[in-house]
Amino acid sequence: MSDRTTNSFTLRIAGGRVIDPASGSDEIRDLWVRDGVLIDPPGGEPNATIDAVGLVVCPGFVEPHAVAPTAGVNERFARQALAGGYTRVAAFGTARQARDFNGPCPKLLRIGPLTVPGTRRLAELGDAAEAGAVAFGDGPEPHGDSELLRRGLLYAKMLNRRVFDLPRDAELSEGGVAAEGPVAAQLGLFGVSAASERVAVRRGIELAHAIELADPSGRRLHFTALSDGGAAMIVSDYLNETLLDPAPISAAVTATHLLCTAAALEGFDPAGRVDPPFRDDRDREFLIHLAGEGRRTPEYPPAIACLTAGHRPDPALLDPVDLLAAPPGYEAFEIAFAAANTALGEEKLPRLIELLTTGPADVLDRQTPSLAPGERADLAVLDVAGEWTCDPATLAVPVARTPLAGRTLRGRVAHTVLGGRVVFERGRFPDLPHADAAAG
Amino acid sequence: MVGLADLNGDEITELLDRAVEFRRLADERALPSPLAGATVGNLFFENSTRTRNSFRLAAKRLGAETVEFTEVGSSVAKGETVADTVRTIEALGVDLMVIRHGSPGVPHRLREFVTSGLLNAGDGTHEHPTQALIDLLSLRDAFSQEGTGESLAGKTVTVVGDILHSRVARSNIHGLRALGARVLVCGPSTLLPRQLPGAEFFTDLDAALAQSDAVNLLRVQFERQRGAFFPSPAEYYRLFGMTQTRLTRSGRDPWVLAPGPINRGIELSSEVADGPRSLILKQVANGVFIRMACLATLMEARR
Repeated sequence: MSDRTTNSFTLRIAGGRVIDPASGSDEIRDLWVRDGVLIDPPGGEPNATIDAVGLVVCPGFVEPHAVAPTAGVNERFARQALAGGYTRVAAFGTARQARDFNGPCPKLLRIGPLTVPGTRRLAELGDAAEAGAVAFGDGPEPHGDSELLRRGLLYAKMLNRRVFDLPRDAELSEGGVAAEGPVAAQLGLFGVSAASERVAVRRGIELAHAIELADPSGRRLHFTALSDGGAAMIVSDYLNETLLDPAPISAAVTATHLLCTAAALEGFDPAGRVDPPFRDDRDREFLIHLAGEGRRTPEYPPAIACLTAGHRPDPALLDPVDLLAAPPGYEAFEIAFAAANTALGEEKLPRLIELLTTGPADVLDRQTPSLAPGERADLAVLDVAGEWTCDPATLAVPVARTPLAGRTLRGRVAHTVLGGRVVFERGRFPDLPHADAAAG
Repeated sequence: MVGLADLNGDEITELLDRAVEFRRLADERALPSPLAGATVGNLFFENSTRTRNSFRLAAKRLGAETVEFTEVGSSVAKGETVADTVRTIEALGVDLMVIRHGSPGVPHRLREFVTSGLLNAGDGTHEHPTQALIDLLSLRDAFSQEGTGESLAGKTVTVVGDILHSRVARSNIHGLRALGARVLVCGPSTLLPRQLPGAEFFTDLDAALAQSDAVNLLRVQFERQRGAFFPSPAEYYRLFGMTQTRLTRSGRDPWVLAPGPINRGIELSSEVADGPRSLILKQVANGVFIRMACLATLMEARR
C-alpha cells in the first residue's frame, strides 16, 4: 500500500534485462519508479514489485500512425494498444479520447488530414497544427494527386510538420485487393502491382528532395508502409546517396508484413486483406533485412525508420464471407510485437526496440523515449522467448480477424506500465480505480 | 462443390457421366426424383436469368422444392452480412444452396457458416464450376461424335478473350487440366493475367488456333472492366473475333464453344455461331443436366 504519510508510491521492476535505446544501455538491473517517474534506486522497500527476471524491460512502444475509431478513441482501442505495449499512439482521424471512457489510455497524438476529402484542396493545416496535430496525412485513403502532395509538403514545411503518405499510385492500385501475383490470379482478385508502390515512392522522393534542396530544413515526407522489396530498395538507395542531411524522407513497415505473404489470402480469408497488400517471401525477407539493419554508418539513416502495428479498428458490421466488402486492415496492436519479434529473431531485439520506441518518436518529432531518471515511467515488460499460438478469440482483447491466426509466435508483452501504473499484466487489465490497486 | 480447383479428374468424370445418364433418362421420360422432399435455395446476390432458370429447372425435374432469393448489391449496406442472410435462408429448411455472388470466395467462406450443401453458381471473377462442366461435357460429346474418343486427354483447348475478369476461364483451366487437356489462353495482353497457373499464353489468335482442337470464346464482360482494356469492340473483333475465314485458315477445324450470352460481331461472327462446328446450343441443352448431376451428387453426399 502506498505510503500515506508522504502520499508517495514506489514500484520496483526487479532483475530484468533493461534495454534503453536512447542511452544505448543493455544490462540486467532494477528500475525504480516513484509517483509515475523513473528514479535512481532509493534503497528501502518498494510498495510493489514486478519480478522481471528473464524478461526484457524497455520504454513503452510508440505507434507512429494508427487509424483511430471515427467516434474517438474508445476503451477497446486503448486496451488493445496497452496490451500491445504501446504507451504513446499517434493516429489518423479523431485521435481524441471519447467522452464516455475514463480508463487508462496511451498518450494520444493526432495526425491531421492533409486534404479535404473528395476535393483537391488542402485541409486547414495551420489551424490543425495550432490545435495540436503533430503531422498531416490522409491515412489509408491518400488522395493520389501529385501537385496536391507537393503543395501539402510545402505548406506543412512552413508549419514544421511532416506529411505521412501511404505510397500507392491511385490509378495503378484502383480496385486492387491483393498483391499482383499467382495468388491473386488464381483467386480472381484484382492485383496491385509492385509498380504502384514504386511509382509513388519515387514521386515522393523527388518532390521532397526538390523542396529540401531549395530550402533545407529537415525531414519532410514519411512513407507510412512499404510492402514491396523494390520500393524499399529505392528508399534505401536514396538514403545512401543523398547529400541532404537530414534526409527529407523516412519510411515505416507494418509488423505483420515481416511475417505474412499473399498466401494469407488463400481460402479468401478477409484477414489477409491489408493495404498495402502482403507480397511474396522475397519482399518479406528484404523488408526483414532492412528493418533489422538500422544504420550502416553514422551518416546513413536507417531505411526503415520505425515499425507500425498497422492498426485499424474493425467496422461494427464485418462480413466474414465477403472479401471485397471487407475493408483492408485489422486490429493489430496486440500482436505487433510478437509478429516483429518472431520475424526479426532474438539477436535483433535491441534494434526491434528502437523500431518500436525511438524510431517512431523521431518520425513524429516527439521527445525520445528514455529510461533515464526523471522520465515518466511508460514502460513495456516483454517475455521475448515464450512461444504461443495466435488465436484471435483468446487475445486479451479478442478480435474478429488476424492474418496470424494459428501461427506460432515468439514473445509477447507481459506488462505495460503507464505513468508508473501497471495497466496491463499477463493478459489482463487490472482494475484501476486507484494507482495503489494498480501497482499492487 | 464450390470450385473445380477442389475436384480431381475422376470426380469431374463422374459428374459428367451422371449428367449423360440424366440426359438419357430425360429422353426416355424416365427421370428419377432423387431430390423428392428436399428444398433447394437459389441465392442470387448478382443478376442472372439463364443460370438461375437452369438451376431451378434442374432442381424441379429432380423433385425438389425451390426457394428463390435475389438481393443485388451489398447486404452489408443494408445492415446485414451475407453470412447472416444465408443463415436466415438456411433456417427455412433448405437442404442445398445454389449461390451466386459478386465477391470471389463467398461460397468457400460460407462453408464455415452453414451446414447445407453449397453449389457455386459463380463467385465474382473466381470460379463458375457448373459452366466449365457444361463446356467439358459439350467437348466430350463433340470429340466422341467425331470418333476421336471421348477423352479430353491430349487435346488442346484455347480459351479466348477476357481471361482477367473471367470466372469461366479459371474453372475451365482447372477442369481441362484435371482431365489431361492442354490449355492455351489467348486475348489482349491487358486481359491476360500472366501469373495464372496451368495455362500457356498467346496474344496471336491464329498461332493458338493452329494448335487447337477446340476454342472457348469468352463473352467480353464490359460490366466487370474498370475503364478500357482494349481500344474498341471493332478492333477486338479484328484481332480476337472468331470468323469462318480464321477457322478455315487454321487448318484444324476446331470445335467452337461460347458460354452465353454471346455478342455477335465481337467475340464471333454469326456464321461461326450458327455454323457446323458451333456447340453453343448444345452447351445450353447440357446446362440443365450438369446442374442436375451436381445437385443429385451433393444431395447424396449429405445423406
